Amino acid sequence: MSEKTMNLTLKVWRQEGPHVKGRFETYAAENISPDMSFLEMLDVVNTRLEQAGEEPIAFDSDCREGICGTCGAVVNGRAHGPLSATTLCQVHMRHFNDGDTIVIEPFRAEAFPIVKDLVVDRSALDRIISAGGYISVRTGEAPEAHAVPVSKRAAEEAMDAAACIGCGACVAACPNASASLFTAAKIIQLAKLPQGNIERRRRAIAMIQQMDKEGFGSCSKHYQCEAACPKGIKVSFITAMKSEYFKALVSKD
Amino acid sequence: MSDEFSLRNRLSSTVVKELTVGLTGLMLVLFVGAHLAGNILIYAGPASYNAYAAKLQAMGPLLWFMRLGLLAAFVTHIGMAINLDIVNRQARANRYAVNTYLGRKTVATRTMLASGIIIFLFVLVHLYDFALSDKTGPASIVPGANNNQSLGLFGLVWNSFRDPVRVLFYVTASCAVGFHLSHAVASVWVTVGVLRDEDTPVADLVARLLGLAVAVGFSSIPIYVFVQIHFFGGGPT
Ligand code: HEM
Ligand code: FES
Repeated sequence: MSEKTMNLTLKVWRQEGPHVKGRFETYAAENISPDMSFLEMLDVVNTRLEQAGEEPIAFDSDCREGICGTCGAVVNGRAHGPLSATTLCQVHMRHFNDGDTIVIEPFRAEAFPIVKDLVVDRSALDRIISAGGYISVRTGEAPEAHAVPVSKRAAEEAMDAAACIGCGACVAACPNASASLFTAAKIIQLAKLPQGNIERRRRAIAMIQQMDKEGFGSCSKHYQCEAACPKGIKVSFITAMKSEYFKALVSKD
Repeated sequence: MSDEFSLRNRLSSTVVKELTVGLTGLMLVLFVGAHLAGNILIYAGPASYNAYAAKLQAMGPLLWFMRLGLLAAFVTHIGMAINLDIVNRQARANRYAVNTYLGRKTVATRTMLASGIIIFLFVLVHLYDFALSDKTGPASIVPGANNNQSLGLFGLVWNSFRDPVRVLFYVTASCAVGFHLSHAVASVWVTVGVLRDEDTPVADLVARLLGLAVAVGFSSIPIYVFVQIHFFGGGPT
């Protein structure tokens, strides 16, 4: 153990299931190393809860390396916690002060029903992908790289959009619980490249319709999503998504 | 083609609803600009001001066509904005206990509905004040000016701003419009799908300057008349 540890007070949202009322419970997180990640801190608290015969706090995680998009909670009012462009699993306890009170809530949206405590059901995002976030034309074997020209700008935009890990922080941070940033990233990532270009019109319509159907809100340009996104995805992708949709409205294919 | 691709479904998406709010909003912005340009003539005195009003009247059927278009834009703008607001509130029915607001945009962004409602109430009062009132009757006579004969629309406007409550109401409403536009004119370029990243600061600046110009420009008129009446002896110069 490192020489200096911290003591924190956690106020955590506890909810047994989707249809029961939730509440905040207060826990002491004692002797926490500043080198622990936020999720490791929760692991420690959970071990102690289990030892005391209490139900551990349910939360999601997988890679704990900031690449899978599984983790996420709203910590002191910020999706993924206090650091910008960082997933919750990559936040370390040294970014908090000894004696702090930390309020931990699940991502809240009607389209993200709470499964348990901090675990929410984000399958609405999967259904947006299923509606059109793929390529169904046969592209054959990988062609010789130079045979498929892609401009530098298009390649960079596609890569920036592809950085989205689908964590849902944009929805969590948006006052309207809009999934615009997520949907935009997924639409533009494909539209910019030759393989995705073929079905771009159909895709824009299908994915946006699914987004509406899932009960997400619309974009009021608060730029909260951009501020919360662990991968730095920009609102300009939403602008591009709208332009895709309007072109699709008047196109014949 | 499956049903979800029907024109009706495609047009009822939130993206199209937002577009409708944005485009009707831009129409209203054009009107606000023209309206300010016309009414600023109050500073040029009764003759110029009334000549402007007469020119508008002389447009005849075209004026009515524009008025109907404006009414349609106004009603559509409000209807769609409220419709979206309801959808958005439902999407986040459960609020957070702690909210940290990080977005680039601030108070004007979060109060669009409130500023909109103030504008709506103002428009009702405003139409009653000027459009529906008698422009040649006793209310248009400014005591001591023009040999106590009617000063037309100018006289009506002038006399209206003798009342401090009305002045305050007009100033509040003018600021609400400016406030509304300081967010709207930055945000609308995202809505219509044309704003590039690198142009965002310019859009923000233009929107703020426009909002400020509208707020100051419109507010100045009732304040000017009020000060003239109560501190400089009443009549138009
Ligand atoms: C002088 C009158 C008005 C003008 C010039 C005006 C202009 C605009 C513009 C340009 C937008 C931008 C839309 C966008 O971001 O895409 C907007 C948004 C909005 N307007 Fe107005 N508006 C006016 C009156 C009203 C009224 C009377 C209401 C409601 C009672 C209203 C409610 C709203 C709302 C709620 C939004 C935000 C929509 C959103 O965030 O998605 N506006 N307005
Ligand atoms: S657990 Fe994979 S991104 Fe956090």
